[in-house]
Amino acid sequence: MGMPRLRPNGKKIKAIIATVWLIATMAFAIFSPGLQDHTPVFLGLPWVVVLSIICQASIFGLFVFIAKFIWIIEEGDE
Amino acid sequence: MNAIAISIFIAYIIAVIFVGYIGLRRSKKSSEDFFVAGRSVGPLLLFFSLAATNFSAFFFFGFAGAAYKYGFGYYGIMAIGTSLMAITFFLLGRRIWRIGKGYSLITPPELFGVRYRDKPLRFSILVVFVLFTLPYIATQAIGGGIAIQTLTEGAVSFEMGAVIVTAVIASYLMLGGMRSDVLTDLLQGVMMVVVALAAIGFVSYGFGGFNEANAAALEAAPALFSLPGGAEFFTIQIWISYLLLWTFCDPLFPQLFQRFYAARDERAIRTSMLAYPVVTAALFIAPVLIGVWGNVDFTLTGSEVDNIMPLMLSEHAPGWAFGLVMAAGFAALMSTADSQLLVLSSMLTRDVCSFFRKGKVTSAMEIKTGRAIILVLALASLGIALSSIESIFSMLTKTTFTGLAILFPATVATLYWKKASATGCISSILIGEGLYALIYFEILPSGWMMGFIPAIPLVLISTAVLIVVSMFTKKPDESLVSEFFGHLEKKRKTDVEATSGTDKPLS
Repeated sequence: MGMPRLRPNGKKIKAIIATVWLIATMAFAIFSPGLQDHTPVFLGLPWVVVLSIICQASIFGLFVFIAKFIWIIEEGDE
Repeated sequence: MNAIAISIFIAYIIAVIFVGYIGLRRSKKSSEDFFVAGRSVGPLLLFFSLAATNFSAFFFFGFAGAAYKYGFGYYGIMAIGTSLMAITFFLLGRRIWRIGKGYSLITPPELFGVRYRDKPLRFSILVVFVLFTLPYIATQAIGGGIAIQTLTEGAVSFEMGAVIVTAVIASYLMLGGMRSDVLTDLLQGVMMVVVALAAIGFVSYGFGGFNEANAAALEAAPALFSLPGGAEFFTIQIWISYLLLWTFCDPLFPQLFQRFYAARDERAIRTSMLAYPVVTAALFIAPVLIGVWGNVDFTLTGSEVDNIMPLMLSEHAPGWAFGLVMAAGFAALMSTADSQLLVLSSMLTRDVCSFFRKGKVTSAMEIKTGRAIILVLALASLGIALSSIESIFSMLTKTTFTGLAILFPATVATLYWKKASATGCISSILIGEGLYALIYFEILPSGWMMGFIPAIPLVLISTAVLIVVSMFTKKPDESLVSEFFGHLEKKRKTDVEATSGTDKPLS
């Protein structure tokens, strides 16, 4: 009998990172206090637009992470 | 009449039919080619096709109208929600493509058919798809009729406008099927992007600059610049609901679902996933800005708010720009309606006609049947658009998003959970749709939803029903499950191998 595995394998770590990334982005999108602030921030646009763009940038980053480390086509099924 | 605007519109119609004809020239005589472009759609075309199909006439008219009423928060729910939705390209689209390629599938219900070999489930899925898609095509014909009537200042009647729109869509679809569809999607998608960004330039220039436009809007309607927005629409529950809604329902639009089959390879789907957040971030700001800025110039109520985009352009842009926006609105409308018409035609051809026909069904027969069904559906949607039964279909259109979101648990379970059963899937769909009907007709009180839109609790309930019923009912045959998941687990071909077939790629 081999030793029980103490550390999760690479696939699990990547899945955990992606899940945490997604939850953090959604938490930011839902609970940012700036959402209730109508002060213009950039080019006269309010916080709600700036925060939305930050969230989309984070989602794009998550997709890049997935594309680079999880959805690896050349090596077949991830 | 605005002669320049009408000329632009006519040029656009001619261009669309010409592009549809190119689709015919590149097509082959197989039903796989007619309905899913021979699984040869490359990254660029797939992305534009998904986006143009996804963004309907609502993008130009309803979206700006909603921003006029509720403010910049609408950018948040639409842009973040739609970006997030693209994660389903990875979670669902990738698996749908693999299964579709493995079994040579063409229609969405076929995927459930090969997984469970259960006719009631396959037809339940078919009925839900048809019920929530057909009314949408009629809506696009109505929108087209109104737009042409507006553009020609009444010289062309609403009825004739609806006939023109329907005839143009049916023509290029009958010519080249999916190949014509995705090629016209490219033209329509590019047009939407260019016109939306140009519209911001024209209108902000009219205000004396971007900052000035925002400053004027802030003074006119400060509530639109933060949550909860105009009419205090964005409660925390509504905000969360709309951030999640598109993820549940968009991939279940059968016209988007079918596009996963049409992809040349997984790389095409992956590229689309990466491009989605970038494009929505840039594109969705246009109708929101113009809608919010509209509060400076116009006081509108009720359904008038959906006219804010053309009103703002007629106020701040040259006459020809108005024609361009109407043509782009048409592009958005047509790119959605054509895909819906094609996917309905494919389902009625393959899941009904071919399924029940005794004897051998050839590709040529399926193409003929598909073309005939496109014509029949086009006439039916036109009939709905011009008749008094429109209100019934209008009700169905309003319920489409939730109605399709209820299919989400069954789809995820089919692709991921080996223990899912056909009875579990059917129960989840029937209970979900049944509860929604009770909520919609106010037979069931809505207080228990705690302020969330119905789609969110109904997806949770449907998931629970699916799990519980699947645990206590007969599992599908082990060999079926092994075969199905075998297609998901085996090593995928590289792009070179995947494109080495005889079909001419669309890239």
